[in-house]
Amino acid sequence: MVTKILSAGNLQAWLDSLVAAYQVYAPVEGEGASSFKKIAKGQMPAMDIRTDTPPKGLIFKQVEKILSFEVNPDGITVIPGDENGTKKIVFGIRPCDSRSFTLTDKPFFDPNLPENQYMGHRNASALVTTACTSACRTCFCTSIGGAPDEKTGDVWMMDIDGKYLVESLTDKGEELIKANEGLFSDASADDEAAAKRIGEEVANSMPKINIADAKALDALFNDDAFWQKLTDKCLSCGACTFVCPTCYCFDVRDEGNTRKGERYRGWDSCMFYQYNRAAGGHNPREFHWKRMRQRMLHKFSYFPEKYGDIDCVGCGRCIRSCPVSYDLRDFLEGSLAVTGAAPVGFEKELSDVDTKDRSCEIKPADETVKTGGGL
Amino acid sequence: MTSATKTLVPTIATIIEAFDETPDVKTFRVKIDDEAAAAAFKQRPGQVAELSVFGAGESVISITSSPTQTEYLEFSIKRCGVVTDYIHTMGAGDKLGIRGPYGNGFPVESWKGKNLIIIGGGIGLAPVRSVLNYAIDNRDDFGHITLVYGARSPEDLVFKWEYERWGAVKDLDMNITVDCGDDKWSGKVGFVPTILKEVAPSPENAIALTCGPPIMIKFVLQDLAEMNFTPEQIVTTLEGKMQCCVGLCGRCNIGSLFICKDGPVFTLAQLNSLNGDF
Ligand SMILES: Cc1cc2nc3c(=O)[nH]c(=O)nc-3n(C[C@H](O)[C@H](O)[C@H](O)COP(=O)(O)OP(=O)(O)OC[C@H]3O[C@@H](n4cnc5c(N)ncnc54)[C@H](O)[C@@H]3O)c2cc1C
Ligand code: SF4
Ligand code: SF4
Ligand code: FES
Repeated sequence: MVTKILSAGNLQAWLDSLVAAYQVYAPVEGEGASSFKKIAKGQMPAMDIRTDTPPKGLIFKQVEKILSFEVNPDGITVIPGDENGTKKIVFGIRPCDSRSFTLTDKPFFDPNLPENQYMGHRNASALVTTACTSACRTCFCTSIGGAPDEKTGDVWMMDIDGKYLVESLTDKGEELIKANEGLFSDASADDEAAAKRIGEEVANSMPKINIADAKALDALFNDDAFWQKLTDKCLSCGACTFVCPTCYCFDVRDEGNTRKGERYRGWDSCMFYQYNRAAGGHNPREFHWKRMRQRMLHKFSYFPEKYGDIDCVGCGRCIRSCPVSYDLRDFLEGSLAVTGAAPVGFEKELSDVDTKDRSCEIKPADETVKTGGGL
Repeated sequence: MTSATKTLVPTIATIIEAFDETPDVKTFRVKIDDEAAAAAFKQRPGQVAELSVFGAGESVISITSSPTQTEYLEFSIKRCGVVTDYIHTMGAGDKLGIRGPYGNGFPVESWKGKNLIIIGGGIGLAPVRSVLNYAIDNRDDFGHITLVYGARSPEDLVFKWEYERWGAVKDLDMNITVDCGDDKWSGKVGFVPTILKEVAPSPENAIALTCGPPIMIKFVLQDLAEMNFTPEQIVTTLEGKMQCCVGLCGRCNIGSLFICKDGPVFTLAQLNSLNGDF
């Protein structure tokens, strides 16, 4: 694998060369919400923003056609949906979002029952990760095992004082650099040391939340009062799951009529009443606090139990987008207090949520330290 | 494993026969069209399939026939929503989509030599009937068989056409009951748990399987415990809303287990150790 330097002035040239060969998606400011959009030649992405919506939908499509069907004189013709995803580059993705795909891979790359369409998009995509040189008040990647400079994706890059340190992490990533070798110069040991220092500074600026282990959290299941208090204000709107890079629940729907039509899978939300409502009306998660319990325990207990990792990357989007300011960190801290896993003297209450600053202003690392992480 | 390499894409099957069981339950005999797909579809008793009505959707349905029946797959379906209503309008010659088999099924190999107590209520006889017929077709592999089955009324009893055959099987004690009889009914009257207590099966070298409405299961479990069945000896199948049946769509979990993939068959011992929304 190679480690190189890209001058800030050459970033556009590199992007243009990538745009010429692939579809390139990158952070773009938008009306209402920023997101990953396809960029054109000469277009500089908004490299310093955290997008409001995650790049999840580029690989785990919001709506994916599973099949189309048509009744004909010989029976029914079923044409499976495309499994070959278009070759694309997700450029400027943050380490947390990049990590999110490695988590969703676990259930979707099941060797016995692979979800071929997700796999198709995933395999056709290259991720160019941009390390964070500052943290938002809502970021907590270091608490779930990530880091602002985590090396994940196919290429990893970091802005070190006006130039980029660029490292390939996979063969796919190496190709993107090698094909444009003229734009890069060699990296020195000083450059790598600078990147390491910045990464550490940003990580140190972030408050660390202790997280109870999967088993301790599961033991909270029957504490109804805890969940009810936690979920008090929730509107079951599903915004939190929509913006979450790791949420992957889906619904299956048919469109058309019984002679000709299509079947789709589309994003669903465990926060919706209909999520578990069975024919006949039985609904084991009838109340919003049971659905919140499902969302929290799926991420922090069941998924880790099954696959070894927490299914949250600490991006903070759910905290920023909740209309009633539900804060996942309150669950994490509150659960510590309730499970008795908190350090002695820990008296965190679930009530002080409204005093928090949830803005995601990008501040220089040292300033973030001064203002505190908002916790 | 599965008949389709594309996990969510069904293969086509033809309904070869369909007949009413009750006013709202209809049984379908189905054959998979593609020979290779049909050969690859090898189920265990207690497994399920996703049936598709293209244009209406998919539903998870227990394969009620035993794997010893290789001519066709049988499904008994209660009319209760979009897909199941539509399936009820279908008959011989009509085409369905099918994918599976899914789920763990019953561990019948480990039950060799054991007495089986099969307790069903309403449409809940469908999943356990696969074990009953499997045990009948491998009669020497199992000990005594006790069946306790009930429905609201005589007209709500499913698989009435099987009772004569079951009644003639050696060492099979058949107890059919209804909550409310009518003029023509001469059999037992009473709730399933009540009849179970009368029959009072011994837990000695036995496995008790139960499936039915939640309220019936609740009392059956209490009664079995009183009769000294251990949680390891009691087996039940769970239901829950499903969309994928392959552990992906997220919704059918009980704690870290998925009913569709890790179930639908669980021992009471397993359920006791799991926190979950039922
Ligand atoms: C393991 C298992 C075995 C089952 N075996 C049988 C059987 O042998 N016979 C039978 O009649 N029924 C069985 N069911 C129930 C059957 O799946 C539902 O009645 C059926 O899906 C309802 O679909 P619908 O479109 O008619 O209802 P709608 O209410 O219109 O449902 C819309 C969609 O929601 C999902 N859904 C709704 N209710 C359920 C439910 N209870 N379980 C799973 N998915 C649901 C389906 O995807 C369905 O297409 C079983 C369910 C499970 C989980
Ligand atoms: S749960 Fe919240 S913080 Fe965690 S990955 Fe999802 S949106 Fe980000
Ligand atoms: S965004 Fe907030 S209000 Fe909406 S479902 Fe999530 S926690 Fe509830
Ligand atoms: S039905 Fe989708 S996870 Fe079980």
